[in-house]
Amino acid sequence: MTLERRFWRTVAAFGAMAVAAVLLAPLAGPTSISLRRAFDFSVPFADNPDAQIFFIARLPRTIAGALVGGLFAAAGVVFQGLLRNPLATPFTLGVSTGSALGAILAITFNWSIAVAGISAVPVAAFAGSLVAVGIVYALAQARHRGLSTTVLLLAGVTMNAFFSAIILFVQYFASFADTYRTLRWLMGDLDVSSYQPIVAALPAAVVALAVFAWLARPLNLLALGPDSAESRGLDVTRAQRAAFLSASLATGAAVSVGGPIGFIGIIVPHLVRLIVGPDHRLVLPAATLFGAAFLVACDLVARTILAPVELPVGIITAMIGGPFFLWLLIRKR
Amino acid sequence: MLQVADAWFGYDERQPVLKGVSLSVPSGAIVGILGPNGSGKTTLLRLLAGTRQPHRGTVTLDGAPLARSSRVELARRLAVVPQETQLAFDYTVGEVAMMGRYPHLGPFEIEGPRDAAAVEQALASTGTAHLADRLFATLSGGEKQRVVIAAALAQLSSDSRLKAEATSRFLLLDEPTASLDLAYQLEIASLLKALHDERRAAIVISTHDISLAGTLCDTLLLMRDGGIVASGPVDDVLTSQNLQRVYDVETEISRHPSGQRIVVPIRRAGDRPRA
Amino acid sequence: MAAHSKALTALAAWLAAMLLAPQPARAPQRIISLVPNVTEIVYALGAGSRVVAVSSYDTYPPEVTALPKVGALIDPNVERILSLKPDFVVVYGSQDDLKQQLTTAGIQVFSYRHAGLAGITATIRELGGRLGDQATAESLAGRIERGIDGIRTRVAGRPRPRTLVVFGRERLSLRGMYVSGGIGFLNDMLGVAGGDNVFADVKTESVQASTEQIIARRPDVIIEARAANSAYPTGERGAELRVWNALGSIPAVRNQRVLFLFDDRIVIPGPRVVEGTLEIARALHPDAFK
Repeated sequence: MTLERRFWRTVAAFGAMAVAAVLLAPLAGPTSISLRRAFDFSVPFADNPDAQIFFIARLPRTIAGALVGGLFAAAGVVFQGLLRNPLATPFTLGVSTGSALGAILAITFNWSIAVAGISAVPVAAFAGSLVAVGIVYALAQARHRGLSTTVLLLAGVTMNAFFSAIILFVQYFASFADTYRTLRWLMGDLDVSSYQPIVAALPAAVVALAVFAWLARPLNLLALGPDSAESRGLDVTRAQRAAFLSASLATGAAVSVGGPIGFIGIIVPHLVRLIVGPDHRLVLPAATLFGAAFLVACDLVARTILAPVELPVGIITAMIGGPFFLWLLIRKR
Repeated sequence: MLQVADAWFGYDERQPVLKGVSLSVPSGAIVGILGPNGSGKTTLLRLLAGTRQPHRGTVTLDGAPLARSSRVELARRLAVVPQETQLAFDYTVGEVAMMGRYPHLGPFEIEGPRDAAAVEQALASTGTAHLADRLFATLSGGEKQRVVIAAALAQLSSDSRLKAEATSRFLLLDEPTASLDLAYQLEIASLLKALHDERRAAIVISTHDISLAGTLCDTLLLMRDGGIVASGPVDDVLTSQNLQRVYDVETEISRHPSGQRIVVPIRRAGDRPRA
Repeated sequence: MAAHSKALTALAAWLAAMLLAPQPARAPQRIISLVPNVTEIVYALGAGSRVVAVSSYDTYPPEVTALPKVGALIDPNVERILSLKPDFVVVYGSQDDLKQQLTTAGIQVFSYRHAGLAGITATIRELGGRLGDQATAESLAGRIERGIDGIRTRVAGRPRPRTLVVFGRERLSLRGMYVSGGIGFLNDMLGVAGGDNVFADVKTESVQASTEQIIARRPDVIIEARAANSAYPTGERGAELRVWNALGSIPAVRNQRVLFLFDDRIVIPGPRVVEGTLEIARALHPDAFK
């Protein structure tokens, strides 16, 4: 079968999965609502709790889950291609530590700035991720030639260590309540309760995904090593730069919406590669769509399994992540 | 004609690896680059491929400096077969070979039937067509080398619809038989000879295998410490004297009835002969 | 001679009694408290003059601001504590290491754990005994209990509004919302003040409430309770109030009954709990307190 046909089949299959997830997830929740009443447009919206639950609590949350899941999964694929290592994650190079620092500062110091209707914590988280990316990029660029992946890794690890130290320092001065809230933010939270955070993250998401589309073939070439890729006509430095910046942008946007939800960026790319093979022109769209469906499903479990208590979604992804890696390990033997 | 003129290069600018090296590769030639480790063979190959630019001097293809052409344009005429290929993900042989066609595709274009045909042909001429659906990582060393050569052939295939192409193409191989056992060494050598005869692509090999170079190539370049010790037709260059200057080893060179050159290392230069 | 020997015998007997009888324990004279609400109780019991240091978070009564600070739950400064030579230290129940160190140094330890409303008077009585003044403790506890009963009586028979008590959320956002569950002194105070906790069925002290839960439970009144130093700055209260408009179907929002109660008496389970409960009752049933 030609690549083109495989491409459309892949997009159709995973797209159907994502659409199904987004359509079905809002139908379930920790409280029971009447769908008929929710869609009864004769009742004024402000007087219709069922409609409010569906359209304010569940639908934005589902869409946010799809966006965040898709971005984390795709960013994971790109980072793995850039670092030529299937164990790389969107958090390997320090982006999430930067956003965690931003969020912690906003929580601890009670910042109340709001930008374009977005409250302080997501804004600070995004700003923090940009700072982290900028520092890692500058450190990695300092070398004479291009963007060496080894230097990138070192810079990322350095950044992680440095920012983590600052985070601990800030934590020390935080009150008990602030520390608790920070911890919960780190576990992920998709309860956006409005479409604004989603809309605000869209520009970054669209830009990142567009660059990902262009990166698909270069990432294939990079898998053979930078020299081989270069001799096949790829501007390796430009491709690596584009990969690093776009994947970091996607990660920063996703973290600012839902917090640093782990494991999506490594489970989804792995599973997708098992199904469609390693060609990035298939893996990237498939991972984006599957990541969306995956996180929406995880969030559905998180908010219904112990109703009325709603678990942070990061716990569910982690609980899937552990056994997943065990299974991978057993398979490899 | 691929030409290097008085090139100087160092990964660290203060320590040049190549010091004023010159080389001409006419289309259709088979050039061998010999020299000990650290003599700059691989670096010279990189300059020829255009993946590095010399600090001083020029590298030109048909008179035009490589730096002035786009990488993609260069990739359609210059292909490199590295010594070893490490794959980060589980690509199949067919996929690896197809990557050789990428320089012929537009930014979002997907490979079509002509590309498939070029890959098929390339795999066939390297005897790897039956491996097309196997995972590259599961192949033996010799099979991997042949697949990578096939990818390079697909890359150089003249069937490209993007531009009217000039005809001369260059296949650059870095130590193609270094990690292979005897059977594969023989295989690769005869493959290269056959390819050269069929396709009229120029071949540049950097190698340790003096006998291979002596038999396969029509021109030799002997390098030491970033400089050229001797260059020219094989018969003129492949002498015990030159080899001693390059390797510090006394050798005896003879001709096997099959036509192959045999180079026998005797002793290190300066050692007393054994009793 | 008989008078002398009688006196000598009496003296000997008295000396023997003094030396051999068990010494009555002296009431603690140098008190350190790491728990702000217990500090308030100590002062309310009249032992404030004996307090030599408090926690980093203590603010009431005003006298404590002049006292040395020795850390709190996570970071108690053991050296500082010991250097002040206390004979009685109030610590959190979870500070096992600290308790161990103090006991080894021969210092009395009072271990405090959060409990509900009833826990406050229980703490008062227990602390009173330890501080050597059971009578004052009994009187204070009694006063508090009567005060609570009084409020309960005052609002009895009135319809109890469904109430959401929020004690934390992100600024200018409804995310990260923490509310009182069906356990704890805030929940108990609410009950006394004549309100029904919408999260009464969740048996934890703190619940992270999702948007869906809040809408589904339809609170009639929303109380945002904070300590005074965590209050929204005056200029920003309007914006913080408007954030709730996103959930317009909630009766509390529709009827404009989202109330900010930034009052230490509400969030600190100490001797001022009656005043705190009164504030809540006034907010829920204004007509009962004309």
